[in-house]
Amino acid sequence: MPSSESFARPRAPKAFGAIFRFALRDLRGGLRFYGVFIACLVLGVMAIVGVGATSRAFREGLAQQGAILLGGDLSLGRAQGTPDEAERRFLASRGKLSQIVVLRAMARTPEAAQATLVEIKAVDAAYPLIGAAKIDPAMTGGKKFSEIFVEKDGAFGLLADPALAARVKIKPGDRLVIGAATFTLSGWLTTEPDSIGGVGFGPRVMMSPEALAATKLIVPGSLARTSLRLLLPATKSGDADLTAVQSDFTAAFPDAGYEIRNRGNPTPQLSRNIDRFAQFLSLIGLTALVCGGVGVGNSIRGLIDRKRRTLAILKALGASGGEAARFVLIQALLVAAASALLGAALGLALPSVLVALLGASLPFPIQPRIAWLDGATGLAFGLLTALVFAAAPLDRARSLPATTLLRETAMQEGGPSRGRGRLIAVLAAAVLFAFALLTSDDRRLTAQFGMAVIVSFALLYGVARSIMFFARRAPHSPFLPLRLAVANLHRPGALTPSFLISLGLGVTLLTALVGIERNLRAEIGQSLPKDSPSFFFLDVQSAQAAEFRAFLHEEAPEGTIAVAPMLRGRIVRVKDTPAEEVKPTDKARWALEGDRGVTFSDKPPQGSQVVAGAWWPENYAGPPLVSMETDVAQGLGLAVGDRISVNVLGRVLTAQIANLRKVNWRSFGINFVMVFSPNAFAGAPFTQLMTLTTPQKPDVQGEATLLSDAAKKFPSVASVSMRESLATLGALLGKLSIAIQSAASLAFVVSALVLSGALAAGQRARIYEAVVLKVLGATRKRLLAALTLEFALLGAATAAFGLLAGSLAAWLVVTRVLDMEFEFFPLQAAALALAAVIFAIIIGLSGTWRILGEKPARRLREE
Amino acid sequence: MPDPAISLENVNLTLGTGEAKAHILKNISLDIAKGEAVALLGPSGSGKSTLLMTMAGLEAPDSGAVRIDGRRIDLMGEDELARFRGAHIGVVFQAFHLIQTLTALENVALPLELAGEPEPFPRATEALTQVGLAGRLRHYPAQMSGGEQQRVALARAMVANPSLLVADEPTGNLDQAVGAEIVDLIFALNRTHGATLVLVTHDEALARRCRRIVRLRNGRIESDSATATGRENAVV
Repeated sequence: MPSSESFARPRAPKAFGAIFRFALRDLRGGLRFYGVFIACLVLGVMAIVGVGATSRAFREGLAQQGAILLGGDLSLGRAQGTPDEAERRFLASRGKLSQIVVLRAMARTPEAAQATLVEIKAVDAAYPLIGAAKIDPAMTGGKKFSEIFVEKDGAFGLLADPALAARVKIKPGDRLVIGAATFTLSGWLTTEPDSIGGVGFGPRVMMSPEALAATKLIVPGSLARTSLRLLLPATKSGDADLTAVQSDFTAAFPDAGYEIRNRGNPTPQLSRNIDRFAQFLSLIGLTALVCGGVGVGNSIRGLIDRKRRTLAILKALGASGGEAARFVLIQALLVAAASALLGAALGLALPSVLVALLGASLPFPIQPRIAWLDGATGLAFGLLTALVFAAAPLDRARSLPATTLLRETAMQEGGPSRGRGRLIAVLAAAVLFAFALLTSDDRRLTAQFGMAVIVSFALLYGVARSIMFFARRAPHSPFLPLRLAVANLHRPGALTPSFLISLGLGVTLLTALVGIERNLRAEIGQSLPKDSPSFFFLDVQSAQAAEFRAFLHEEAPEGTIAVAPMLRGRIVRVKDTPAEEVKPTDKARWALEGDRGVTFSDKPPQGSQVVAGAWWPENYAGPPLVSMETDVAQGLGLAVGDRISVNVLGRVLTAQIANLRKVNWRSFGINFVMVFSPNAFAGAPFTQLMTLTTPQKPDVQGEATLLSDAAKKFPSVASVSMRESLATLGALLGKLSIAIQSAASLAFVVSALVLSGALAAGQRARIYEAVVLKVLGATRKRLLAALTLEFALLGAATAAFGLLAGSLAAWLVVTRVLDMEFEFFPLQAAALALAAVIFAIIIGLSGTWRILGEKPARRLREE
Repeated sequence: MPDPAISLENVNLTLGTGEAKAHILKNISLDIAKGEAVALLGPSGSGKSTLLMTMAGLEAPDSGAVRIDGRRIDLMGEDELARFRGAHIGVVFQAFHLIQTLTALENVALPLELAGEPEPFPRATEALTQVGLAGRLRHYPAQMSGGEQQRVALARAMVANPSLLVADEPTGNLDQAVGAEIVDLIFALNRTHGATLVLVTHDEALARRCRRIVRLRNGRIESDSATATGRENAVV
């Protein structure tokens, strides 16, 4: 009789080593069962790391090129008003100074056949202080940049964005008229160093200050913006020097009213938007990863099912349940780590790929760099996701007895408690959630998203279980394929939960994104009120206002003309607190950034309604009062009676808030955040903003005629076509849509992978059933009908849930985040539902097609 | 033999590819008369199960002809074969092969439904009653014993009144007592329905209950002889 020692199990580390070696040895057999597992993790991790790496590359690009993008180390911008000599002297003593002026105006061909809105940038001889402009044709013979703009034969030199050619038929050497000056197009401005592709409503044209003066566009009240750029000497260009110059200037000229930016953050709004967009995309990436997690779980189930004989033999040879589970766990974690590494590597390479593919056409500076932290984050995400979804099936391998593992439906039968697996899954999920929060820039958004995913998961799982419950109890249909399909919905190991969760999340996400996009598009174009203006006319001088009105009346006799005085101003103090120190809500932040149009009126503007306080009486002559848009006021913490200071034309005006207005911005009529009492600007120069609303929207030709006539007769008036503006916004939205749709498509690809993985996991059972049915006389047509019905039922249930949940999410975003009215598009919903059902059938059938051709005897012999 | 129920003519069948290729059936020619009960005997790997599957149209021969009730099933397409099998052939497997998601009644009704029978369930109930499972109609396979599952499989094989019943080691997964009950049932059904019966077995005693025993070895028919039962019947 052997001694008790001879039965003693090896000590744990030794046993672990043996299991580890065995797992490695078993992996040599290939990774073919891991296809979906690897693909899901690679894609999910790639999405998260890719988005993170790209936004980091952008941020670092901005930081590295901050001075170039800003046009100097420091930029001081102000609407209207030439900078004070004292201000210039102060800055010039600190470094190299350059001054630029920007404004919008109309450019036309000399015969006035065509006219278009352009964004003028007048640059002095010092421009560019840093960086270099690229022009086509390139300059030759060591010519100075400013020499391009000199006057020759009665025409100034001009550079223009190549986009101008799409609006006005023009080529280098041709003439162009802007305001009262004539220009010769010297070349195309292919790269403007101090520009980040924001939304411009017209192409950029660059000229000299002399040329700008010759245009006679700069008159008191015109909507020009002047910027002073300062480049510190190399010896005194540290961050401390920069801060010192900035604070010294503010101290010396406290009321100068400049918006000051430094090279550290040249475009705060763009940086914030990019960050937010990246956050949004990475949440979609996280959805893809979580969705892929379902695939990971299915793969592990399939793997254990396929390896059940190996596991049974291991157990029969004396391996404990834990060791059997470890065998699979070690394999799964090794493959997960390798997949996550591959995904992270691909994600890290994304910024470089973008640069290589898109290069100069990228609107932002991108500085690709391998950030190992991003890679490590992706790796952690991948491993945690694998653990969350693999824990429960792994525990099944541990708890099922060896004999069960040898049976066909080993993974589908009920067994001992799965408590431990669930506990590990919940713990891993909690760690994954915490990790997502830790690595997120916007924890609130991530937390909300995390909750939404958990709720969606729970709901989808609940719906799946309900479908299975009702399918089990459904009356037996006399139609056999339907009965087989219904039986497949609730059979042990049915696809229903996997299908609902993976495709359900995909459809929900897509429905939400498409819904939001459609609402946005409707907002900017399709649902414009009939009485929305067709044209905006800026910079109509007060002296020419009557004449311009008459011109508009002549051009469009049935049109309605609206007029409002307009000035540019910047909020400098809120309740006596400097604007820089105010902490506005996200919705009101824009009001503090840059110049805003302001107006004055003795009665409430059309399209707005006073909701608090009272309007001032006619001919009011007391201290300045202001009416504020209610949302902005709330976002800035302002109420009726509070004081707000605005720098207009270099003068700081402090006014008391008399009332708050609710503004219907959707009317696209003339409206302003701030409307002052008329006496506030007594004597100040201002221009008129006019709108023309025509009963019939003008066609492109009619629009072009009106624009060119206006440009010829009133060269200083900038005409903006509503159609073109909306087209510009639409194009921008289109670009954003591409990024969003790419991310959503990725989530869908993962869905498809998960589904095919789930199908593969249950393939053996399905083939077996099909073969038995064939033995009993079922034709392929019958089998096909049953399969089609099954996937159609699953697809329909998924589509119904996805449409409901996705529409709810879209409604929440549209009404709560975007503050718009939500519109449901039934046709689009129907199309999406149909697409989801077709997608389900195609994926389902493509995964089970070979069932139909399976030869019965050979298959049955294997059982 | 006038119009045999089963006629095999020079049937050859190879399975596997490459080095694993094995010539399983070698020039098998065999006729089985209508209503005859034949046992296929032989050691493991002799080709008896493959021969049975070929008779059931579940395995297609590489060459030779297989006729069931005068029809060349080896020339039929897959779907035509499935329909033919549904109407003419009942199959009983050692591993039962019931569909786990369907109740006993639904499993038995399947062949009738597939054949487009208007009232499949009363007939399926009757078939289950015949095998002694009237009280287990709504049970799922997982809720039944091995013997009960094989009874369901038997009821399913016979419910459409096939002219041929093939059984591949029908008692292989059952204990002796239950196996004996199943065998009694098979022969009783064979007598009641007048179907031709071919069964594969290792059990000499069971084989002797058939009229004829065909012995196979290495893919060839080693002997083909009438049993005492067969001789008695022949005398009668």
